[in-house]
Amino acid sequence: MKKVLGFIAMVLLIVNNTISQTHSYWLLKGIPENTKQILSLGVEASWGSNSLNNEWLSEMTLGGHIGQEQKNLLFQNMEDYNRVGAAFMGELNVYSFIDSVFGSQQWGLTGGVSHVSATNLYFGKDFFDLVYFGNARSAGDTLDFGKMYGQLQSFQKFGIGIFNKENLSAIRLSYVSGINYLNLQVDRARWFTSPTTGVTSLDYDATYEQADTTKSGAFTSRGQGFCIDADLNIPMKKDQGFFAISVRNIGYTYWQNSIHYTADSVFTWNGIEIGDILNVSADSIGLPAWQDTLGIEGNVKSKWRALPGSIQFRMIKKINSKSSYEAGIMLQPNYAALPLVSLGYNHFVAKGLMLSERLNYGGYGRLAVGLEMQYLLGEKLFLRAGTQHLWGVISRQARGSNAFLGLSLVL
Amino acid sequence: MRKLLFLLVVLVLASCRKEATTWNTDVSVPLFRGELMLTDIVADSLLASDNGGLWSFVYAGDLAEINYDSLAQLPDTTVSESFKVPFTSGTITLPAGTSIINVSRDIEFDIPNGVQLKRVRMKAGTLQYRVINYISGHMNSVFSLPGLLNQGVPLVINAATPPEQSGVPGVAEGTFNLEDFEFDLTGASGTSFNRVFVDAAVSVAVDAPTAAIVQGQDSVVVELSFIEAVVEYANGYFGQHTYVINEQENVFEGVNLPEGQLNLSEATFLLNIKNNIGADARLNLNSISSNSNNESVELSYAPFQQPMLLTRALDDGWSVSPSVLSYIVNEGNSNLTQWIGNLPSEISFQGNLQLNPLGNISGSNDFIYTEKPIELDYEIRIPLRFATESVLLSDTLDIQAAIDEDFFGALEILVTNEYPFALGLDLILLNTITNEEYIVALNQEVRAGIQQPNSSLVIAVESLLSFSVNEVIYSKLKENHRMIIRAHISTPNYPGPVGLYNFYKMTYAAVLRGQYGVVVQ
Repeated sequence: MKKVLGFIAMVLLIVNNTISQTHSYWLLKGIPENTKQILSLGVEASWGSNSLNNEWLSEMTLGGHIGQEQKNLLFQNMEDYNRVGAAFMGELNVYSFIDSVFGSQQWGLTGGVSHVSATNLYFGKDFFDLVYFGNARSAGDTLDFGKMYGQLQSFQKFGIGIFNKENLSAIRLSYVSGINYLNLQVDRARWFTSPTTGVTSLDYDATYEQADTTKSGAFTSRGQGFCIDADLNIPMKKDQGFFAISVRNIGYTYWQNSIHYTADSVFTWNGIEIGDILNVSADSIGLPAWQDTLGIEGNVKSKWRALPGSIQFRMIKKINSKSSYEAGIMLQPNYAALPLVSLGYNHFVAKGLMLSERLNYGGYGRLAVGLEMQYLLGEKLFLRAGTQHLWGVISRQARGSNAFLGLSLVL
Repeated sequence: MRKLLFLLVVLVLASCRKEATTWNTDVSVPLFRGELMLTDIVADSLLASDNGGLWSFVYAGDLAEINYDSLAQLPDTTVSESFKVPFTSGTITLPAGTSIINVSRDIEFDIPNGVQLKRVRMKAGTLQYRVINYISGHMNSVFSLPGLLNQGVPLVINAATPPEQSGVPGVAEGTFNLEDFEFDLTGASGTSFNRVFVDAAVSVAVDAPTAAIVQGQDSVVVELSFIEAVVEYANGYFGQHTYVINEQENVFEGVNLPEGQLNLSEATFLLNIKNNIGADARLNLNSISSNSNNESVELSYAPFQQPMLLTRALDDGWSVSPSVLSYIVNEGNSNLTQWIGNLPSEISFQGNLQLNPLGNISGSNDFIYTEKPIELDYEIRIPLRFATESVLLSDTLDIQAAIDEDFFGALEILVTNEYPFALGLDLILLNTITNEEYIVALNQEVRAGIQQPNSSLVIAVESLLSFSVNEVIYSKLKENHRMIIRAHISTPNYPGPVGLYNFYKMTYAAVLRGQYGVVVQ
């Protein structure tokens, strides 16, 4: 039995792309014989960028002044195209070990609810230049934003599925309640400012979508959909480890009455035309109808849109009875995320305490060091906590941060 | 556990509090632009340009406030004519179809002011008829009016009236639309006026159920009422009339011409008199004065000192050829320079217009098309050539708009000046309570366009004006300040005049350059 539980713990280390979704190693290694159910709570928040840092994020989200020196530093370290992304996930799952499925004792039922918010942006250095430095310093030059993509999705899942009690291979089908959806795609954007007259022109081709704006409320449902989450765990020979493939959030949401704007035009701004400056008044100054002037065509539609899914390949292999190493790669099909490659080392440092150290590269950010602790509290409560970006927890100059927490209760 | 919950609630509430995120950007933003032309200063209706493009200040007016309606008016009126049976006593019974009355005569209109109309064409109006039967029998009355032509067809009124019963006469009535009617008002003779010929025939109705009982003195009365009749054309003799002219015209009202030397030597006063009426007239202009606050100056021009005879217009049946008198008054033939130099706020015209001063010399062939009466109009034209030296124009703006205080830098205005004069601009903030003045900018120069020798062409010259925008100005504006804009105008080679042409303009484009504080809540 201990061998089985040890195997399970090893699998759980590798099958989930968000760490908080996994159970404690100690929970599974020491699970009592009479365990009927496990309640598992996981929370994880993360963000990353190849160019923006924690100080910037803090000021953008919590407020504060972004100084000139800080902007210069960010700008100097930027690449021509940059990535930024963030995600929050909270999940409560139930695993039932007493059920049997299809007449087989190897399969049990699992169900759960979760909330996912994910956003990302792929943007050019010139875009940052315009937003944070203004257009004056680039007067006479063309700021070419190139292609720019951004997306935000927020949704809740209510799922049910089956899992294999021996290797934890599982599949779960979820109903999706879509909360919010924003999508920006800029295929062409160039900004020019005349050095003498300040005349500004913008040449652009862009599309913007947003979920039903007539509904208010942070958690109001604006769409319905479905998704599949699945894990396939393949054990190595002689109990040496596992290969694993896992997919998350493979599905679609039907966003109802969402607004769609498209614009493909050249807009030139040379100031408000004043007919008679000697008798000017607020009423006599006619601002243009911006939507028409900018050539924006808008309509309301209901459309299916894919969820922010991911696929992950990982391997874990024993080194000896007290340690193992792991390697993996995760793919997220969006413009801002690179393949996330990770290498890790897991070892026991004391009774009931296991530490894991990881090196991660890619995703929305650059190289990051992760640290995780798994600890057994009494006989019923199991804790795991850590970060995938240790430097980000410590430093405001780090380009990302991550924290996760998992609690499991054996019933 | 309770402590843990409390901590969680505190953390959630704290996370909802967010300061604003701010950063500074350097911006260059076009704010406004436009053109300044003379037509922005002076109303279009007061300006006219000649073939060379030289603007002139023009004030035109119309003196023909004379009521010509009395010449060709058919007042609302009712004419009543009684047709009696041809015996004076006794009673006779007449069977159906028997003719009782058969009489012809003229009906006369009472047209005031001695006007004698022979022919009239109507533009609108209603003819209402009423036939009153005092005979005890069903009568059929036919009134033929060959002088009232509707589309060339004489008007015939057919009226079937019920019998008089117990002293109450039988009545039949109806209306005709008079639009496009033509009236021949010469009566049965064809040479008279203000009368229409009518032929009356009254008989017992053919289908009368009973015989008519007719007594001596019985009659049938016809009433013709003309209601809201509008005449389009009239012919006849209009009589002698005198119309008083007593007009006061406000001029230069709302015109803010800059002080300086306006060259009035080319100014003109034009008086046009056009007589579209087929009647002679005589105009006496006793006085044309320019009145300012301090002085009244009479226009002295010889032709106006004596009566001006307007011969009658000619009507060839297709069109009217008016007789026209035009007088051009200028510096050479009058005291016009002094008259205009008075800078009048009001011009006063006194006099009279006499119609048919020599009586009926046309053989009653006066005519009038009522839409074309006698027209008297005038025009004052002053070519805009002027010279000025540091003449001040000033305007005060109330700054009531909400002020966005996140910008610091300068408002730069690029002015391209095609006018051959320079401007010095002052911007001053005035505290309306303490009268303290704060100078934003002093004598920012808009340079004069370069006038080409012996030509009206001007080479445009650019000037860049810069006005600081900072915390001091924001605070001053908020302290109940007003903004005073002063412009000093100077023409080159003063006192030599420069002309203002319709192709001159001043263009401006304003750009905000500076630091803008972005605030994201």
